[in-house]
Amino acid sequence: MATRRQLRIAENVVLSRPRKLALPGEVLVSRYQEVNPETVVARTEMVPGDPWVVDIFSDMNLRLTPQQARRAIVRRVGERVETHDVLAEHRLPGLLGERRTVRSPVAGVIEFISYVYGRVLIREDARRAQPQVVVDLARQLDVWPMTIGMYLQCREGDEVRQGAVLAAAPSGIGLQYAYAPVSGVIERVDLRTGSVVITRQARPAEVESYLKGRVQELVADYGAVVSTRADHVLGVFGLGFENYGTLRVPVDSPAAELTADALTPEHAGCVLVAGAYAGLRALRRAAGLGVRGVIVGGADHLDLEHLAGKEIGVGISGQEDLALTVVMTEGFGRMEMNRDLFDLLRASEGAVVSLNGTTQVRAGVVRPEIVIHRGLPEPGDPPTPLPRALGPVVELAPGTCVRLLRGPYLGLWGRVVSAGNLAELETEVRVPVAEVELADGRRVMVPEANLEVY
Amino acid sequence: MSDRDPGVILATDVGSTTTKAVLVERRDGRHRLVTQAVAPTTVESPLEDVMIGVRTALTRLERVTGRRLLDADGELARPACPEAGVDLFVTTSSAGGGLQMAVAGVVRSMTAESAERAALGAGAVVADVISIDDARLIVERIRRLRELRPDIVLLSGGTDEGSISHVAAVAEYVAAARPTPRFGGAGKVPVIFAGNRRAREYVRDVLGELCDVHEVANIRPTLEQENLDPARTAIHRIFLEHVMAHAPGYPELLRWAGQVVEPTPHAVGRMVKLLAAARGAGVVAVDVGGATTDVFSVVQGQFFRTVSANLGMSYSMANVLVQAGAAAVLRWLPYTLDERDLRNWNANKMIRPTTLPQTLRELLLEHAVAREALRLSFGHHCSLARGLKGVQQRRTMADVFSQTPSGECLITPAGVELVVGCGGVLSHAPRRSQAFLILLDALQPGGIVQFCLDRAFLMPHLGILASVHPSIASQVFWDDCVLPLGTAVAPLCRPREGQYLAQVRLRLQDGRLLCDEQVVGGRLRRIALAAGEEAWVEVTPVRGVDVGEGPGRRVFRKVRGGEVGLVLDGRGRPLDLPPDRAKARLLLHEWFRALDAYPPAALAQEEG
Repeated sequence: MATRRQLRIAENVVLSRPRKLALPGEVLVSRYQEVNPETVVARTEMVPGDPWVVDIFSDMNLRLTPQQARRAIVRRVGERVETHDVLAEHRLPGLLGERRTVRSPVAGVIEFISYVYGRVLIREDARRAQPQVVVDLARQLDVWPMTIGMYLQCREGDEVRQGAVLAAAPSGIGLQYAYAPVSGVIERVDLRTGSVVITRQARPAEVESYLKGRVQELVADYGAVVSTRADHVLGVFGLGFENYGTLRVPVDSPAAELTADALTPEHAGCVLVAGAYAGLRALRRAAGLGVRGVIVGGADHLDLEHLAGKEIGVGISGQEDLALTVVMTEGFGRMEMNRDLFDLLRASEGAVVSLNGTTQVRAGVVRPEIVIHRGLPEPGDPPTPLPRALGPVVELAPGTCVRLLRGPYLGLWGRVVSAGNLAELETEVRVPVAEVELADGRRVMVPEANLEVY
Repeated sequence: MSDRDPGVILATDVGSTTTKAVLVERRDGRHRLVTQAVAPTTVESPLEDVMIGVRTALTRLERVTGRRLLDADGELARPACPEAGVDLFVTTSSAGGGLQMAVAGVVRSMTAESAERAALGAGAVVADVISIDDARLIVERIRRLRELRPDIVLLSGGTDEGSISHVAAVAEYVAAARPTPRFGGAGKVPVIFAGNRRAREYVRDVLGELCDVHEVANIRPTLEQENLDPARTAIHRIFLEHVMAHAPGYPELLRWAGQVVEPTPHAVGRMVKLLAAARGAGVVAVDVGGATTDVFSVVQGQFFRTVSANLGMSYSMANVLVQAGAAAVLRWLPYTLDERDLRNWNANKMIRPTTLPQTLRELLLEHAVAREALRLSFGHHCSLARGLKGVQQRRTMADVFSQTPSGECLITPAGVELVVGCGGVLSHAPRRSQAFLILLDALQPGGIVQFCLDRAFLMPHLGILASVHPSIASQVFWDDCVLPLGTAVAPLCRPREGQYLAQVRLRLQDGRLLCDEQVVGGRLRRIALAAGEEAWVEVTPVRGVDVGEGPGRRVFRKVRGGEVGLVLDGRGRPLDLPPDRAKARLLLHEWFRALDAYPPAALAQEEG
């Protein structure tokens, strides 16, 4: 009978990671430069380009039919517009018919036009996005500027999201609303002009190297590809995104628990190896002390939810806004760490470690990773193909070291004595079982499906 | 059965992970399941040819049966002769996530909901529902449509003589998203327009160049009327012509199957409809999978299907706990367990979904989670299986105090007479009474209800076979696919413990009295009635107690036996467990013992 090999340790491999910004910016490294995990590879101070919805009918204070709108809106989907370019123009009937014009509030590309609702969606050009946006509420709501205070639904200093109601005023039938065109903070309410100024959150984005290694390739305006020579370990579940630090092992065995009392201020900035278990108190204290990461055999699901501040339901993690990254190597609950891994980590104490808690249990399985840096790759060294997240299927043979995955032996280690026999379990099902000798000398029968090979 | 009927039938179901082939042969005038074989599905990279998996499954079938199914060129051998070939080949498919659809309508609870029902009923996975009254920003809606890459978009909205502006706006959202198909590279996404017919021209105008627009009759021609069939038929046609024809390896599969490959859930739905028609009663079928739970129903002549994504017994197990709450799962355990341990156990199963329960404790835990996954999925199903919203109701003064909103759930506890369960946790339950009790506790049907198990999940194969030979499909279903569990008599009331609820007399066909028992409040009682046996049951409830025909009304009906037999369920509806956990645990022990659901010795240890 075959079972799956789970935890993977790939020693002395060349790892490569693309390190790129989401928006264009400045690349701060050069090719073949040596980098540390905290080296900033690229930076941008650009305001992310928001999609803008321009309500043509509201701005014209008119209601047009789709046919009229088609004539009035002079731009087409895919066209590039500059700030103040005319988007729509309509002349009212009559000899002296007034001409009403709507101009683009931003520079960008028109993505969508609704002729029914008279809306134009412009994808703002991030490179030219203005840090402040003025919203003329009085005009939008057709009220006197000085009275705008009566209709405001926000105050100076409020943080607003795109689409939030800024003000509402009675119109012919019900209320008319003015919405925030962008996300940001209300900088000023100008009662003289009836407008508000929204300061957009300029998010200076940086991308760090994450790995201690060498820049192998540059990606113009966006970043670089960094590679390192390292030992690579896949865990089973993690929390938190990329992190790094110096490896410390404050416990003395893979079966030990990391307690809050064992943590000291010297652990700040480090990645700690916690043995079999770390409780919520220890994890919170670690986060409070500035510990960057915890590598642990197991932790309680409830504690991880409390630490993350969210429910963990569908086995997708890594997006939590945590300063501490947790990588579990064995499973949930108290789980003695694999001895080979513990020995490897203990032997690596003092090394720089990068880790990433991102996990996806299904659909393109992603497991959390631990990278123990061993040295610099040569310029141009190609990356070593890494094992997949799901390990290969291997045969259970006598002497194979296995981890037991279900009760009543959950988390225990042993060696296979024999395998491939059919036996009836307490649940009355007949399945292939293996006889396993546990570390304490007991011999137990376990369904082969409940074994992991190491 | 006529001589013209095919003698040897091969049916395959190409699933997301496995391709299952079954062989049905006529022997002594009856069609019987010969055997089945499974192989990994090969629609994804690196193989990217579904036929590799199909041929592997057929080769395995050949090995088991000795019948040669493929000729020297790897083609299906046809017609059948004594040692080789088949007369008929049919297939279903849900590979690559099945038929993925985006649905758009004007009002979420009206046209968009009707469109969702049409898509689900056609066997699709509804990736998102977009509507004008959607709380999301326009940008978000457009972005979502763009990201989805649906196989088909179903666009509805407006009654036939109503305003066109809103449905036109929805069409504009679709146009703005410029959705691209999953398969077929640069091809256009098919858009089925099933909305206000007056808006057709505008929709054609907006979407004509970007998408492949197909117009069908309005899904909601008036507020009072829902017309799903034209949209469903169009979905099937387009699924075959546009989606399947572009999927890797499917052109050859289509050729084998005479250009008909059905979405798996649609075939299952046909089987459920066939059962409901044959029984002339309400039918509910549930499939508890690893990641999702599907529920099908036919009630009051209407067919409904829902998929509860993220409610399942492996990858989605932790989510069952999130949605139901730990207390809801713990209440089904006949022993004490700390919430922390429950969560760890649950999360470990999520990350290692292929492990098995080795102890009774863990088996009981899995069954507790299954009850909650099913309960939540069935609740979700009931929320969609309802009458039309927005229908005007004419009321008189007499109705002032008894007004009911439109859109009431059509599934009532007494409206279901047959429940069919499938999925690993039910089909692989060590004792059939465990599956029976899980279904009874989770769905809580009332009155007189029969329970069956699709032990090998043959419903897709038989569903597609039913499209050409319904009588053969029905015969194989009852002979080889379904395992009758038994029948429950469950009065609809909220009884006191020990209260006398009804008298039940069971007579065999020959008139012999098999039992004369009382249904007692809070108790379960099992009466042996073997599979294949039929008997007449007469239930005489006390005043105020309903066994399906109204309070106090006597019911006389033919019932079928099964591995569990006849179960008298006096626990009431809805089934409430006492808030006192110790008392609840004692009750669970009593119920499990009454049905002989778990090994008594091991169960006694848990009690101790």
